[in-house]
Amino acid sequence: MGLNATIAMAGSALDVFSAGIQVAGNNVANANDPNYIRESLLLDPSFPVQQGGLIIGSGVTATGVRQQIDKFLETRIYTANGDASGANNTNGVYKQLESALQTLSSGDLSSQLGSLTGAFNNLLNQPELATNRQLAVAQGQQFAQSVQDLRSRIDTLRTSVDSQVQSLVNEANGLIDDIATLNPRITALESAGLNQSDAGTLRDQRYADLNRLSQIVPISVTDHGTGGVDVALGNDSLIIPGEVHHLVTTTRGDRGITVNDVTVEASNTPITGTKGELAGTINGRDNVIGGFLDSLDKFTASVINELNVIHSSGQGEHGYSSVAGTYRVNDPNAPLDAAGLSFPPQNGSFQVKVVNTTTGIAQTSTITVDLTGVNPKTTLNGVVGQLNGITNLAASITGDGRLQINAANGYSVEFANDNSGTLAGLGVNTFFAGASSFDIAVNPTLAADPALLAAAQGGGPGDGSNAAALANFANQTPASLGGASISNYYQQTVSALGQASASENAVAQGSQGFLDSLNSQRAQFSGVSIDNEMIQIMQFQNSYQSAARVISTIDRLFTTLTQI
Amino acid sequence: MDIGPLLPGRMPNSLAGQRLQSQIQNAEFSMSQLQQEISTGHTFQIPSDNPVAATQAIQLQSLLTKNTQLDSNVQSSTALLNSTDAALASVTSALNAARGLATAGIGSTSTPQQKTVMAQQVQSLITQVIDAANSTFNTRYLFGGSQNTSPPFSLAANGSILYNGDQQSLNTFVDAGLSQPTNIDGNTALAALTPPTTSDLNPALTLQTKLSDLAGGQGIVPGEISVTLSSPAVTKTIDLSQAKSIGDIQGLIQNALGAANVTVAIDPAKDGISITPTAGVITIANLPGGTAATNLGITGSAVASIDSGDLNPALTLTTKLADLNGGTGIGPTAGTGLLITSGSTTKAIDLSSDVTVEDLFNQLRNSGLNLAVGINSAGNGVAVSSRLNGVNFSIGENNGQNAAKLGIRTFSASTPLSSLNLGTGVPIVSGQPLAITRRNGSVVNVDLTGSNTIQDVINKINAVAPGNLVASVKTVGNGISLLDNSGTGPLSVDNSALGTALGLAGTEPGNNPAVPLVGKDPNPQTAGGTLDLLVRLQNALQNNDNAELSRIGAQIDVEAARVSSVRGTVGTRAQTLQNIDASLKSQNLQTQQALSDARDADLATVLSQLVAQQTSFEATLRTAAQTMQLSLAHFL
Repeated sequence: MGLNATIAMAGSALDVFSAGIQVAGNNVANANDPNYIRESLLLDPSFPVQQGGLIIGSGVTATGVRQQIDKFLETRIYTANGDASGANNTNGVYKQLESALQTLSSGDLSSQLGSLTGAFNNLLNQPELATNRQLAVAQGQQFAQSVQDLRSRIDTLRTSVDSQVQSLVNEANGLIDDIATLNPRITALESAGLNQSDAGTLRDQRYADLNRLSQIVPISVTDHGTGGVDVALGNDSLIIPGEVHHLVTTTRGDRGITVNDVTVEASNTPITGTKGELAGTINGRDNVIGGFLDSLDKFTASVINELNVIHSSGQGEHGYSSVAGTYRVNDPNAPLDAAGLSFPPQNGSFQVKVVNTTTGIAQTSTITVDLTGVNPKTTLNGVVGQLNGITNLAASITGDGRLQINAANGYSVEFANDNSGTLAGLGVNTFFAGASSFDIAVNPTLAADPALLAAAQGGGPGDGSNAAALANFANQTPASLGGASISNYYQQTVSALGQASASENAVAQGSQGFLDSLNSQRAQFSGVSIDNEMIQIMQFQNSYQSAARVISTIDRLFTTLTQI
Repeated sequence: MDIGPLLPGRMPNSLAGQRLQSQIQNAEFSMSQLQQEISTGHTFQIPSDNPVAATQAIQLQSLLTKNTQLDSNVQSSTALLNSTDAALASVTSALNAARGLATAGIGSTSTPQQKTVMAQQVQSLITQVIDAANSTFNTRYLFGGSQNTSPPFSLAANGSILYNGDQQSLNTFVDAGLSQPTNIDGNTALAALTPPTTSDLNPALTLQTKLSDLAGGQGIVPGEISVTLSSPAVTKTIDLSQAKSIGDIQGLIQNALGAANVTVAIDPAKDGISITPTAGVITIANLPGGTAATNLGITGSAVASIDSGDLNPALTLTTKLADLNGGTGIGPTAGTGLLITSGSTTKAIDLSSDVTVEDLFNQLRNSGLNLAVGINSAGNGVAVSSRLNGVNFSIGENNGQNAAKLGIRTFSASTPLSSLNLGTGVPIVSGQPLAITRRNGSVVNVDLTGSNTIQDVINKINAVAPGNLVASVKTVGNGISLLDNSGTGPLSVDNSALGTALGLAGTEPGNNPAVPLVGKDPNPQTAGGTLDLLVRLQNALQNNDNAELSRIGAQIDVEAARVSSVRGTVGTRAQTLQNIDASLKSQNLQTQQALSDARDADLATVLSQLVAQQTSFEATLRTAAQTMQLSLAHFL
């Protein structure tokens, strides 16, 4: 080997060492980027040269720059991402729902229910006081308003959770496109390399994309060795070479709002389960909030019907000169238990009293509602027919299918002893109108005239017999609530929500902890240590100085040679 | 990022930074949580912070709300009862004063002038009692029953006093599910209504009879029964739970087995149902563990027909008059009816247009006779009372049987002699017979010794000359009438105490044997309460009626004792309320304590936690500042 060859060898070493400093410098420069994966310069001895009997090394070559990453760890992080972010998002929905309920504050429904029964108790204490009737009606309005407010708060919450679904889908689709674009670029860049990590920055970006995508949907990633990755969601592929499937949304109406359903393009597989932010959010929207709404509606319907059944058999300070039902039937010729009423009546009867307003003399008639199925079942038209058979009373059906009863001039009409639930079902002489948390309100007829509040059962203005039943209504155990009383049902619902929320919290914390430990492993392995890089730089600097010394030595040898 | 265990090996700066950030975040989070606990005073803000304690707190809070309401009920009831007691005290003192006046007024110890003055004093006592009885609390007239928005007592014709209230008990909840009356109605307090004459009218069972009206109004809850027929051989379980009336039961059973195979009908006694198979025998049994068939009285094994026996339907407003008395009705109503006397007013009530019990009630209410009408307390009869105090009241026949068949006639053959004349009875003394001067001029002395009822008297008179001297209960109004065909002279009964007490004393001056000597009603009804006695006392003093004065004197004692016992009831109720109040207060205290245990933050603990957290946070920051400065770069 000649001197020139040695200089050339040392020269190439200078290149390699300055490249080493560059790599370390790049690491130092990116030390604060959490997505950055530490790189290192791979050095190999150059191919040796045979000189006669000697085989002499020809210096060092840089074979490449490699990312320090544990690919198996990445796969585990993807899985853990799905678990943790799914639970996190569901947990978030729980917490938002809980704060919307204002449990434990005076504004929650349980307290409102207590205030309503309190108002009925006060009515019972002195039914003859007009203010007690007004307060009871006002308390009923406040209760209805609280239910509606709660419902609209929850609807708003659901809508905002749903818009989160939409933005997650947009983000996921952006990430899918990104990855699909990065795949061929990485393949192209690395086609000559051997390390499968030469396209460092692009890979960093793709790792970040995959990481984020795995938080949104539980993906599985297959690296096929040529620089590209396949991404799948369950059995559906999102990215395979030459084909990209996005997530698509379709809207549908659900419990009063419009929600987005998410499916995978082409296969139409819906996103379900609890893994990933998207599924976690959908779960929160449909099962957590939706489930609570179902309970709220059940509770509200029970309050409305139980109270109405009691109220419709009592009498106010005076009767109605005319009264219209609040609930409509689909078909006045259909049996009353199949006419589309929210609270269908049962077999039985009720009494109608026509009162002469001058003398106070009442005439009682019994209206039979035959729903045993033995005889033709009673229809709304049948009820109207029976009512029209009563002197000084006229009944009809309004254009929208509600019962209308008018007393003749000088007469008023009162109701009593309804063991069929017909009056409550038709909304005649009731306390509440509406059938769910969406539309509960005090019967407008009663709201306009609180003297109609039915505190009595046949007695004078001081008769509180029906008020006693009203005051006790929250202790009723309707079959629809599965044996729980009305007042306990809501408490149980809220307690169960708290329990579920707490256990979701524990799940979220557990899976987050696991994810954190994986991320910490990743950071420990792939993160940049300034101290390490400094040492690297110093080493390369020393090597560089040594190689330069080789050149200056050869240089002196040349000088010596030329001076001969 | 969680502060997990570190693996051996590298410690990159980025990891150190992340760990530090996470440590600081955690410390800040717990500090703000502690701050929140201190500022709200609660250990948790939403239920999921501590579900067990939150569930407890929710229940305790609702218990607290309920107890607060109960306490407010107790307070308002106590106030009402205290006012009631004060009013009754005033009534008691008036009765005591009246007792003195009644005693002083008897006999000749006081002059007629003095008695007039005494009568005026009684008038002021009446005013005092009416004032007390019309007293109000928080706009409620305390003694009006449910008619408590207008004065329950008012002056009526001839110094009588009208009670406008009813007898309803007004209740409030003083404990979970426990209600207590907060009022004493005017009749309970002052016996302001005449005690009604009433009897079981035994309404017939009809297909319209509601199951809730059976068993004397207690109701029967239907359920599943098992029915077996021998021909055709079939066993069926029939669910009667949706049945609300006898007609529903009939329809459901006939429908399940086929109307051709079995007949369900009202039984011949009209008090129950009979179930008869068209052929063969029938068996009806309860389902295991059930009592539905027994409740309806229709169990039977392999018999030709099953009869439920008496299901005892209660009387309701819609019961038809024709269905009373086991379906036999109240007798012909055309041209008959009731003859009701209230004070100086007598009216005939024509029942011919009345179909239901309610029609009857409406007509009586509208009669202008100040009647209180309703269904009796047993739920099986009609109760008619007069609202007037201080005058006599009676219900008699008007040539028919309507009053008797309604069970409301105030005088009949079975009326005991001891109850006549406002309870003073009939003075039957051996050796002092009833002397009747017959139309032929002869005098017969009827010895009434041993007679207990009007019928006994009638029998003894009729035994004198059977078929010729005939005594009977009057067919119009009340009292005894006497017919004699022995001659054409006048017919008379001597003006003795006995004759007067029977209402017979007097003369039929005509000569027609077909015209009877018509007696007076010896059994007038009276309210007999405080106001009734005071009005009668005033009249007796004015009329100088010694017999009446001594009767009233005794009655006032009885009435004073009765009013005292009513006051005792009020006192007992107030006492009960006090006890409930005390127990509610201590329960509230315990509940609040438990609620505080479950929910409230212990400030001492929270503050010391905060200080500890602060110290560790400061240390973290200090070590962070120092370790972050350490880098090889500084030393190069």
